[in-house]
Amino acid sequence: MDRGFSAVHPFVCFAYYVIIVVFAMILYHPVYLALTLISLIIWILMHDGGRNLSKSWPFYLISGIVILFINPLINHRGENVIFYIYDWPITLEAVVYGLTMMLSLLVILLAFVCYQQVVDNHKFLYLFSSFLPKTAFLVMMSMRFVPLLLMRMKQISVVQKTRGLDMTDGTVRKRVRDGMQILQILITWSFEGALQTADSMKARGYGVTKRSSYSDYRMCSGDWLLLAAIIVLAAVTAVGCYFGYGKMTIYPSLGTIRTDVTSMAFYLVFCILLFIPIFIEEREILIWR
Amino acid sequence: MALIQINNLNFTYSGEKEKVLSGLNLTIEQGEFVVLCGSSGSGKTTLLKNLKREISPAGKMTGDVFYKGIPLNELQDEVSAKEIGMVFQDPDSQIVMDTVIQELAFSLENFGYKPAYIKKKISEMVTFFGLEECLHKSVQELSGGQKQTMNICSVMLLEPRVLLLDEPTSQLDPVAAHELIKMVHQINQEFSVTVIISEHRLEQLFPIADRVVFMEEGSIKYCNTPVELSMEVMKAKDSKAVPFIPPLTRLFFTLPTGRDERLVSDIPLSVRSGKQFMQRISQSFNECSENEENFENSHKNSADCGNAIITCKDVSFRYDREKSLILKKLSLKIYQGEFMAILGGNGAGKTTLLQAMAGLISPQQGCVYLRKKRIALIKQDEKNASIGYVAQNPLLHFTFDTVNEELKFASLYSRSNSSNTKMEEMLELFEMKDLLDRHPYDLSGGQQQKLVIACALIPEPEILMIDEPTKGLDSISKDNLARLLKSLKAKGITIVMVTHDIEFAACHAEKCAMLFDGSITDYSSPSEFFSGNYFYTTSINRAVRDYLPHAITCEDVMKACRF
Repeated sequence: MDRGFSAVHPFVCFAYYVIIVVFAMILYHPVYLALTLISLIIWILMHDGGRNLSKSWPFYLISGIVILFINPLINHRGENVIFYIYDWPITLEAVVYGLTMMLSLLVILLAFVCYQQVVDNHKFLYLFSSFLPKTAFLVMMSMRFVPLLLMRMKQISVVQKTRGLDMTDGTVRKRVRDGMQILQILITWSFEGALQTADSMKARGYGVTKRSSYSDYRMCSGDWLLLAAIIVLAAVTAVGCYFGYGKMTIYPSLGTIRTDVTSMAFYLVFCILLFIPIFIEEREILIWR
Repeated sequence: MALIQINNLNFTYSGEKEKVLSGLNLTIEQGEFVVLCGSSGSGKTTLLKNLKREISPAGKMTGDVFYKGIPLNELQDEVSAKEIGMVFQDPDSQIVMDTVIQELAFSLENFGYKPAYIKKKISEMVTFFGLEECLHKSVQELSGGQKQTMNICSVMLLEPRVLLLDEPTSQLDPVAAHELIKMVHQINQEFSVTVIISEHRLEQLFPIADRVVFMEEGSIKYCNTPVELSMEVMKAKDSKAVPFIPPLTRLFFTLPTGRDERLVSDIPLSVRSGKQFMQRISQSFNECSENEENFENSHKNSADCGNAIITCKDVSFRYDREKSLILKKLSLKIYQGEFMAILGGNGAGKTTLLQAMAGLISPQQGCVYLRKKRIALIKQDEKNASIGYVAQNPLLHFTFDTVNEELKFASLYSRSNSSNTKMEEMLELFEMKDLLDRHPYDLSGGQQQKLVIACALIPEPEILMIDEPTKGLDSISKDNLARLLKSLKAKGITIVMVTHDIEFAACHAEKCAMLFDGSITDYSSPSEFFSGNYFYTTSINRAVRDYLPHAITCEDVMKACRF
């Protein structure tokens, strides 16, 4: 069920994650990216105790590490050489660049993980049904068919064992042939069912007049407020970015991480933006404690 | 003015020569509850589809259908779609959307209603149908009964004047079917929606129907109130219509009371009226008590044991590690040559048990033995040769384009060399010679099932395992099936049947087992089995149990009483 940040109107959530991903690409700055990554991980842990990541985290970790190592190995630009491998200079700049790239990639990947948890398929379709009504309707219908076909497939495979068709047994050639046969049964059967589906749609007046679209979602005042806050915070960060606060020079020689008051103010603004989902989740936890 | 008026309706499907409906006349008034019955292929579905313009089948139609005095094809699109609602047989394939609330909204969206109005309509209807709990569930999580309730609800949201239902309970278990029919009755009573329902399960519909229409070969043979119709049919001894009359009503006419004109007003339609009727004639039962004892003994004797052909020992099964156990340390023995019925509610694991016994799925704990051999160790080919398995849905079996090819493929597993003669024999036994070139999908439900059984029997198996064979069959096909199974049994084939059709098991099985909560809770001969139950028993037994506790079928009552 929807709770915490997922209970917010899907449009706000969608906008939020679009902003996060866009910033992950334009704010090429280890501090900004590290902050984003931390906030995303905290949110995931809070939302479902990390269950969603429990299986896939090695994948993220490995792809991050690969990028972290590959850049300094193939890219030798930069002034500060740390050490040499077979006459190849490994430079500090390339290491930092790799690190930033890794952070950026992980942020984008995890932002998608969060997004999927918050904006499930139904919400996504709802967002698009207003300007792509036909496509959204088609996708929704197909979503019904995926589990239905899988269920039928299972039934067919069990029963067809009695006739010697088995995809789990025999030579590859036989398996492929049997698989095709089973698929053929599935398709014939499903076509038969689809005729009935079409009848049932027509019987309930599909195509009589222009369809309307019903949804459960309504922007309440809280949602508007949140959207406004997100826009303002994002705008301030974007201004900072325009004046160069969101970038760190890496090549040809590594710049420093600025710690003056203006920079700190921009970090703070961005932090508030990042921690919005966490605030909301925390509030939910406090209510139910 | 009648709500629906059908004048001399004829219909022929395109590409066919024979008329499916011929010279049909019928008038239906506002608020009536009309039941359509008749064997499959008698034109019930075609008639219903011809009353709903949007889905009228392709073919040649002559005659007139008027709705509120207007010819059906001159109705406005919107009126026709809204005021005439239709619910179909298969709960799954008529669902369009993914979640319950979307599915319900679907019909209202089609008419372009505003979201606020849709919400209001859904909220009131959902309460009536008791669907609040599953509003946001995926349709896949619903039971068959819930799916069908949702389908009716989705149609009712459009506030139809007429509700057409095409065998809506044929895929449901008895309890869910009962609930659904109660729901339809309530709709008819509370909203005065005219209901036209085609059904095979008439026991529950006879007490509530205003009129019963019996169809035969595309025309109406009888059309009357349930009581009058039963009388007409029973008096005429119409062998094609008698099986459709509910057992209790049939019992009334078989007993000498049926010939008594004065008792006509007492014709029992429900268990309650059956019981009252029994009370009135109970004097004639007083002399039955001694017979009752004989009766009991004769049944006990028949339960002698031979060799166990299938043995389940402490079988436990679950589909997924996270899911709960479906079979829990289940033990069961099936003896050579017996006809065993396994009963149980929907989701009790009947199909799972049958598949485990056929060696199609392997249990996580415990073993199934075929004679003395572990079934898991037997090769699939050998298993196929000794066990014939027939799934609930015949369509799962078909791989080829003609009946002939299906049968030929099946004979691949034949152990004997005479598979061709065996095939001939099957064609003879199953009366399927004319169907050889037909596509399996074009056969009727009963024929499809016969084809699957024939395929299963060609390799000459010792055991026939058959899952829910009476699902969706009309009374005549059921009788044919029973005769077929009995003749197979006479040839020495062991039959294991999984079913929730109480009447069928009571009449034809030799042994009944009850599957509940993953294990077998009761295992005995039908008379003992059913007489021990209070609800899960035949309607005859429920009506006569005070006098003849062991009588479960019409024949039992007759046998027990010396009339």
